[in-house]
Amino acid sequence: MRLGLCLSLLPLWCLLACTDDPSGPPPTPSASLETEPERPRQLQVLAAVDVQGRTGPGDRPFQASRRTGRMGQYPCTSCHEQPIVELSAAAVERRWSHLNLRIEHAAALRCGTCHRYASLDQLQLIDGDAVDFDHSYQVCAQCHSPQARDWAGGAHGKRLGGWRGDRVVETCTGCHDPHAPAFPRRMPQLYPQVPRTGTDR
Amino acid sequence: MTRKFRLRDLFTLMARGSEAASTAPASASGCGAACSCSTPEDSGHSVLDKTVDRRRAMGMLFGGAAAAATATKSAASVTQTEPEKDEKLLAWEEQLKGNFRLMTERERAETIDRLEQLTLIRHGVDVRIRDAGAIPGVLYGYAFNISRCKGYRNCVEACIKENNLDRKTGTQYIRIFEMEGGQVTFEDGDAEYFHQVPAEGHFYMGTQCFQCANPPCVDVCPVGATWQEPDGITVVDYDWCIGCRYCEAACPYWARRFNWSEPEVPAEEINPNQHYLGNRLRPKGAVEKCTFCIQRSRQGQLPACAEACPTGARVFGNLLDPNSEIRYVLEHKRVFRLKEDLGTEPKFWYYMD
Amino acid sequence: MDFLRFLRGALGAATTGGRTYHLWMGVLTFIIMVGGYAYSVQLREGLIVTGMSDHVSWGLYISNFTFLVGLAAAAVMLVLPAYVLKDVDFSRAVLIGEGVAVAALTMCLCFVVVDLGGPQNMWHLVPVLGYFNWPRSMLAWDVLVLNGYLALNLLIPLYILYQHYHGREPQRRKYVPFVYLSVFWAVSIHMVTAFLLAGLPARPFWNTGLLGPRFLASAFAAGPAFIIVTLHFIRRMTTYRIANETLSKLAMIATVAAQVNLIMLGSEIFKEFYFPTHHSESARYLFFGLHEHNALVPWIWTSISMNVLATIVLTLHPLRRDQRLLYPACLLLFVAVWMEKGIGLIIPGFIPSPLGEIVEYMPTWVELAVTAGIWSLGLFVFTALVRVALAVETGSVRHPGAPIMQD
Repeated sequence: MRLGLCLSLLPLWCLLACTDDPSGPPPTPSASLETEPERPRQLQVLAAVDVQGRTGPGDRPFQASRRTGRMGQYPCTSCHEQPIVELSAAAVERRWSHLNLRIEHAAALRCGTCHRYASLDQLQLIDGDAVDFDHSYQVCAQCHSPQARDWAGGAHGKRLGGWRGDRVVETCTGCHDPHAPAFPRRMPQLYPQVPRTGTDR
Repeated sequence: MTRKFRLRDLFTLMARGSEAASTAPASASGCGAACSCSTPEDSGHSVLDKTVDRRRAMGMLFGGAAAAATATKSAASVTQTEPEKDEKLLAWEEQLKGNFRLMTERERAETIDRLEQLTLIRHGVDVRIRDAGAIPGVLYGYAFNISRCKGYRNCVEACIKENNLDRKTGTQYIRIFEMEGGQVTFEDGDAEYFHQVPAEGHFYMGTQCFQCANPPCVDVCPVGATWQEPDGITVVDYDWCIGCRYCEAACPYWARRFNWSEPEVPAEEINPNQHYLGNRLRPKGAVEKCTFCIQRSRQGQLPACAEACPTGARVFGNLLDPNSEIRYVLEHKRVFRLKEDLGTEPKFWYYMD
Repeated sequence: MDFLRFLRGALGAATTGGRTYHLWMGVLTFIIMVGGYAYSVQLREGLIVTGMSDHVSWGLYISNFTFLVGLAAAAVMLVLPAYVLKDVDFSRAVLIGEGVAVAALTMCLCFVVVDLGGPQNMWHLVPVLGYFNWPRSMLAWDVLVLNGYLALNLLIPLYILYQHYHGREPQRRKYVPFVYLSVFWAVSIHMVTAFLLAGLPARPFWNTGLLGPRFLASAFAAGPAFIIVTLHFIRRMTTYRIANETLSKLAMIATVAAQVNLIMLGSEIFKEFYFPTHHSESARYLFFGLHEHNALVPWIWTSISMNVLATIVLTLHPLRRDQRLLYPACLLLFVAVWMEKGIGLIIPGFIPSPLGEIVEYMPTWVELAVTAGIWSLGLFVFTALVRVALAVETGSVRHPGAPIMQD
């Protein structure tokens, strides 16, 4: 539940974090891109990590938002003191905990495909290598390689902070729920008023 | 590269002779103190001084000595007198000011000062109006991923708030079309959908001002109240616009909006971070349009729509920076633009995953 | 001093008249005042009180403007033969024609001004004070040619009337160059107005090379038709003699122009409907309606029917020569062209919008009142001008020292 709440508050938090402080001095407009190494001010509140193991074209360094600070129940070991064993699909269905999770990902996936039972504060790749939660994109990229390539390049995903300076992007799970990654169906934000004139329209 | 012949180019050439002096300061507007454009500026200033004098003379003619005298008065002393009288004086001086593109730095500072005061008097809101020029070496471009957009309209909502759009007539710059699969014809698209989205078998295309590199709306303006900035954003000087709406008729993308009545924004919702050519409060009877959030983009921020998009369907950046995301999209994805046959060269591309 | 006396005489002629005259002018003044009130409402509230919207951003005002530019241009049809070829038949009607031009231009300028969202900013158009985007903007060209044409059409008759006032024959070398100029100018005002619309690739309905010629043809049909109707009234109301020959020549001009206009209309209709493309959507909307939106369909078919009927009457010699048929046919033609250009040209250009959305347009009472007011103003100006012209021509207003002019 708290994770869900955190996720839902995330856009709001981004919005707050990105609003400009009007009292601060404006960046000088005459400065060129080369002379402005300073990352936009509002980015400083965004926790980000350097993306590792990039394979995308260009191979330019960039950062992705941190995952751990936004997970309500992290670290997992605060409850799961012992490593757990693999659960059957039926057991997942009958589970008594993590009831807030809606699981709509590929049917072949089991919890253990991504979660590392041996040390629950980490994720794992299919070949068994451990992956930190902040680098969860590596887990996603195993299957979604075209998206991962576009994400590394900039055609997929969401840039944070601003268009200038160091590139910081949202990590996969910043937008997608890892357990049900498709965007949900919902009502649009507002009705599209046609700016019409006259009072009788 | 071969260039197409256009009659308009001939007209532009004809105009250039008479206008050479006046456009020079416009291009120099953005740069600060030290820059290499001293020669055109020098030649420009003599012309500008003349226009200033003429305008001041006109102020004397119509407004009497009072209005002309306050033009030189400092802003602080004006605020100390009765507000209503102040408003009239300020409004009168605003009425006599020139085209923003041709203003000197000082005139710009003065009009911004007056506009800020007027907003305080009329709406009780303390706003900050910038006149930041284009960042050198930047040309803005936008890409829209039609396989990502889900039609949520978060962008529209953010745009309204950011740009102080009129709440009374419901002005919206962005229009999201719900398109049926298998075609890209806007005639069959629906922009007024209001149901659970994304709808089965449909995709979504957002439109707004595409900041054409060859904008038909700019040439048609009879008073030069709209122009393209060096960073590629087409802007409107709302106070110079006479409201003939020729540009609205000329835009092939239906991107321009007119203030049919006095725009209304609740005081508590006014975004105080404003730009003279961007989201400052517009007068009745002037045309306005999307400026890629000039008040944000020139500060290095993303436009409000790109920042608000929950699905990451909007990519914004500098077309001249080979490392930018927008360049990645253009170089690695298959892109298309709307109505390419018109030769308007929009700087807004659609692409798919 | 003489000129002041001339003006005083003119004013006297314009303000004296019989009961019918005063009633007519009184009614016009009343409608002008109603229009003025409606405009004050529009000034206060903004253009929101009109039926226009961001989709249909030009409406009744610009439609009337476009039509009236044509009417003004049509005066040239009389000017050239009368002043240059010394055609006796026309010189009697030419002052009327120029009165039409001046009145039409007055209305044009009024329609443009009431269409502006910021009329207080109009000084921005003044070349030195403001910023006149000439030659790039077609609207700037239009401002230029309209005001120039207005000046020409005021000055030429003023000179001639003033000479006649003194009982002198006007000197040809003083005014004929201006007559030649005004002939070219008349064509240009209508062409520029057509280019203003035809130069917009955003609106395929207007973006056609035929628009300019069509404008000219319809103007040269509606203009003489209007003058014929006016001459008919002048003949009935005053003692000013107008030969039948003048009327028949005017009718001939109107006939040929109406025929050419119909051919061009047919050509446009063929192009739009033989293989309809996306660019034909506006024409589909105009002629047949689009997705149950069909506000203009009855108008355009009425207009075409009237146009065809009037053209048939005018084309057949026996019918045209029958004065009981000529006047109704001319009136029919005038109204038909007004409907074709006033309603069937500007508004469908906006429907559907460039993004395919259909928002229809219906003028509000404010627009109707302002439009009626401006038309009344035009008729008021026209009546006054014609009255002065006739008074000078018939010799009832003349300089005390002038010799008696023989007719």
